[in-house]
Amino acid sequence: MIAKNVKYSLLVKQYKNNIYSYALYMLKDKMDADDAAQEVLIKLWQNMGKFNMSAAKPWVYRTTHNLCIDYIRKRKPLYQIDEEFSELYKTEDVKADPFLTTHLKMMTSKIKEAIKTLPENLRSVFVLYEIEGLKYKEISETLEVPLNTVKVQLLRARKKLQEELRNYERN
Amino acid sequence: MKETKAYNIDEKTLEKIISAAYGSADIFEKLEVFFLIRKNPEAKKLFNEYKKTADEVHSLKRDELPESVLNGVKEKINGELKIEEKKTFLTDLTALIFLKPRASFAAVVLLAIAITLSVFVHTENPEPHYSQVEIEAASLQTKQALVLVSGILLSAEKTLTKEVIPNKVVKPVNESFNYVNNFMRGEKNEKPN
Repeated sequence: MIAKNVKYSLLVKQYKNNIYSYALYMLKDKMDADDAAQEVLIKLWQNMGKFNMSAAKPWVYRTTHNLCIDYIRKRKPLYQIDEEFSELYKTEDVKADPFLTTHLKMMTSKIKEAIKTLPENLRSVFVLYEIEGLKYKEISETLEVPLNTVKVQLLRARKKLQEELRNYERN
Repeated sequence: MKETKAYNIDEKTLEKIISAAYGSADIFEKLEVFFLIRKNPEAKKLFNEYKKTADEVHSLKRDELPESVLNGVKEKINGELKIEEKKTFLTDLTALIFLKPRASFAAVVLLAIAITLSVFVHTENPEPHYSQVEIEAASLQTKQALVLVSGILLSAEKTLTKEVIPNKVVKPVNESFNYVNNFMRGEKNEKPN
């Protein structure tokens, strides 16, 4: 039991932010991302010992991805509050330069929003490669798609993101 | 009317430009794009656009999992779990061993090889073996050297006791005492030599 505890603690420390960050990009909703991350961490605890520690990374990402897809499919098409945008004003540090802080946050927000507009399949590949730093092979294993599909989708995602940003600047 | 040169960028070239901008192109593609953007302003513009986006994407930080979520996890698994938030060298090392067992194993193997090699390198210098004749010759040479040194020391002692001390030390000291004695008695001193 002690070994399980130690291993689990190490995995949680290592991947908790990765899980949450990926869920946030995929689900585009803070509440859902919270729930998904919690569910992944509980599943991780329940499955400790069922996989090799070195195979933890693909397991974690695959579980998170599959759970996010389940959430998206179950989701009702309701109006969603943009949590991130509301937090932009809520967490603003008054001591720092308010213009600079807002500008930087807007820039980050702009990119994040543009990433979130990508179609689901392109978004997952893009986030896993560019933000989570996974290799083509790891993404292929995680999403259970051929390696070549990963490369093609990544290229499409990059092009689409650029288009989105161009539209953003035009507007 | 000013003539403008048309630069056509095909799909394959665009792919290379994008890959180079995102830093995922191989060295040959990077070189190809590097030379292309020097002569093609359209390619340069595209490269710069994608590079700017890539830099912004790569500078994005991961969102941090809220503490409340982690507390919820702890509650749901009946408090069996104790997640230490404080990072130490030991926890980092343990994490490395558990999460990267192959890398850790490779590091241990390399260390073992290094230690073994160092041991072998030391034992590769065996103690030299000398023949009886060589030992006797060395002994004789040592004795001769000691005789020479002894001769020098004896000569030095002889010079000191027979020449240096009586003439250069004792004689001037005696003369000084005589001079003082004569002075005390009121006798006239002769000039010392």
